[in-house]
Amino acid sequence: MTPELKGFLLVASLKILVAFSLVNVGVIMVIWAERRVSAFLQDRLGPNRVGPLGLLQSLADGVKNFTKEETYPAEADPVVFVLAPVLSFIPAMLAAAVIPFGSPLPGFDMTLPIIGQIVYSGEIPMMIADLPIGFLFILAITSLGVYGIVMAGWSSNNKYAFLGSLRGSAQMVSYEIAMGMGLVALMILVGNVTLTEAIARQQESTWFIFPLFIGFFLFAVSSLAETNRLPFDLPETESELVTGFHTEYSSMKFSMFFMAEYANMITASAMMATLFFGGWDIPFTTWDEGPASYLRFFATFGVFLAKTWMFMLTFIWIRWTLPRFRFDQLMQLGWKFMIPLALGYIMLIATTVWVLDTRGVEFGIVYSLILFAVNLPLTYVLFSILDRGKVLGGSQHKRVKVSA
Amino acid sequence: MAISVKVMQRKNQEISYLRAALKGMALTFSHLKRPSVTMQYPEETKTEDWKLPERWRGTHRMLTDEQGRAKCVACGLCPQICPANCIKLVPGEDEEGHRYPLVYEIDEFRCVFCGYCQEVCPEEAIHVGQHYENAEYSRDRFVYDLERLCAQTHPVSTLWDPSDARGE
Amino acid sequence: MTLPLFWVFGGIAILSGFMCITRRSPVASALWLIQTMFSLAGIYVLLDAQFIAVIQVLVYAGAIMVIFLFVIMLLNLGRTKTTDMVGRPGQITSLVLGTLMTLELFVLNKVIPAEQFRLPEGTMATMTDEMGAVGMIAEPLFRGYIVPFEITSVLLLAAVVGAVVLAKRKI
Repeated sequence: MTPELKGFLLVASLKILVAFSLVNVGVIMVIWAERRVSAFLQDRLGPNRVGPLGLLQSLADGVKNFTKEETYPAEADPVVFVLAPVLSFIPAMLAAAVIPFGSPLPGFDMTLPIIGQIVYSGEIPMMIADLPIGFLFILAITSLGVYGIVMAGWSSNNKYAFLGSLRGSAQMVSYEIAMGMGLVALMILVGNVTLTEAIARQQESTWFIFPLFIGFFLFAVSSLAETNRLPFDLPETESELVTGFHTEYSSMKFSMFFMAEYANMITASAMMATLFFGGWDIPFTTWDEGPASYLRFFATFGVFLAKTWMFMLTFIWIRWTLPRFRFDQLMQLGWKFMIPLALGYIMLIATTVWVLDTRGVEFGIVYSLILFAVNLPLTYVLFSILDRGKVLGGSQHKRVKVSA
Repeated sequence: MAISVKVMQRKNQEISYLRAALKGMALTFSHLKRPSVTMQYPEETKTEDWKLPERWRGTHRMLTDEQGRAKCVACGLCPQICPANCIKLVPGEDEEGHRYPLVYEIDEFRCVFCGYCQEVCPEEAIHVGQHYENAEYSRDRFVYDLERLCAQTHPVSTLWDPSDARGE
Repeated sequence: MTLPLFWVFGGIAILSGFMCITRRSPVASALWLIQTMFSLAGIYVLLDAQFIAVIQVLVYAGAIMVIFLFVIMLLNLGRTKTTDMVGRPGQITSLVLGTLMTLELFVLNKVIPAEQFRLPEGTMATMTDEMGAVGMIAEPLFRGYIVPFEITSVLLLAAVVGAVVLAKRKI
């Protein structure tokens, strides 16, 4: 083996280790955080016994679930039944592969006792794979997560599970469109789909939350729907479907669904942080855009984690506040509001970008602020439409006159 | 006759989903700062605003006199009134003519904790107690004999206020 | 490295395609079809066409097949064991057609493509580096072939209108 190959293998395996433990430890932490934060929101304490502050509670629950009995419902399809939790878990983990979690590290050239000389020339990008298809990969992989839900519901031979999986598939296919469309506007600004480039463009101007405010709104709402979190957790509505698609699952297979849900949540939060909040970019300073160093990596890594956790806490906060939508409201919001809005928004942003480019406005802070100004009236119109109860109102708000 | 439906014309702020959602978010956020109402049970058994009520009827306790003997005179009123039939009493009599219980057992599993035994007792011997931590490792430990009933130390419940005995 | 991976993905694609048409249960067939599409996506990646690969997964595996499964489950076909296998004439027809297709594949394998259809080694990779995975597709699609693209979209629009007309007689 050449020193370069050794260096590549070492770096790649370390990055895989870091990224996947980031997700897995993140899952453990976010389950704990969900229980603690929900408790605080309800004036309780939450799990605080296992380990300091109850941090090891999820580990204890994992051990418990490992040792529990696995039950199989009568006349379940055994292969599909076992495959379903795996198929929802693996895509959730895979999606972390393309998210950059820090600024690049400097390359190295050193000699180790047994391994010999190892070389990595150039900067080491801090993501497992810098794919040219970037966030499209995440969209594609997370869209496969729905198979876990569909197969679980179908193979359980249980009507509640089945209804849950029907709802899940309809919901996820609908909101995938709005999610992808919401990102097209971002694609126009970045000019590419790789996440590294998205971060670089945000460092050049401002974070994309300003020029693409509506895009962020679309993405945030549809990622709530894609991760099956409240207020869109129709596949597992406890009040009507027991627990929906995973009603029949027990022990570790149930845990895998649970972990997949939280891993999806981490991915969605990391996507929001990367695409709209500058990723590992530290605001108000250009220090983090200098040459690669270890200090810089750890600082940006911390910033990235902080941003991601901010979104996860918001997810939790939303979950423990808002009630669930009715299914027809969910579909109306998706098809009659989000998708037309996303299409119109693409046209608006594309036109504005074209006008700005032909007028010769340099891409930078001014450019972003002009786009932000374009967003503002649209935001006002949008929220006033939402506010009139035309999209989300209950049945008594329909302006239907019946002749006497 | 056609059916007529009254359409309510409500104001925007009453039917707004968005404003209601934001209001809810603000409300839950304000709860983050409020103190928790949880009582950390095994460490804390009472807090400022919660303690075991005085009329709580828990596992029994037999009071003793100065010599350490049970106050019970084996009159037989408590097994008589017990609706769950959980008191087993075998009376005995010593050479001075004092009656005392040879066997006095209460099956705490059968007991419904009505407190009638305490109310009916003429000697104020048997009492229900302010106690609820009754876990045991085996079922037969739940039949309390006389010795065990006398050895209980928890406070007894006050079924009525002595100054207002008729509840007026 | 590319060739063995190609054989792996090709083998999986053919195997799961075979399983797809031989399974009795519609749900199992659909799942095997997803497997086929996934291995096709793998082959696209080997051809340096990452964008096509990801669209294959996103659109076919992630959306269209979900709708397929949805319909299969909604019509409750999932657990039926009946087949709609045609009789002797149908079997003979499918045998003849299958043989013809296999022969065509062999012939196609012998054809050397014309010079202008062959790109030198690594062209796709350099183009991806230069223009990005999406730009590489977008440039010819929206500049060179804009008219065929628009005609296709009109065709799709016609299909949408047709579906609405069929589904909703009274609008």
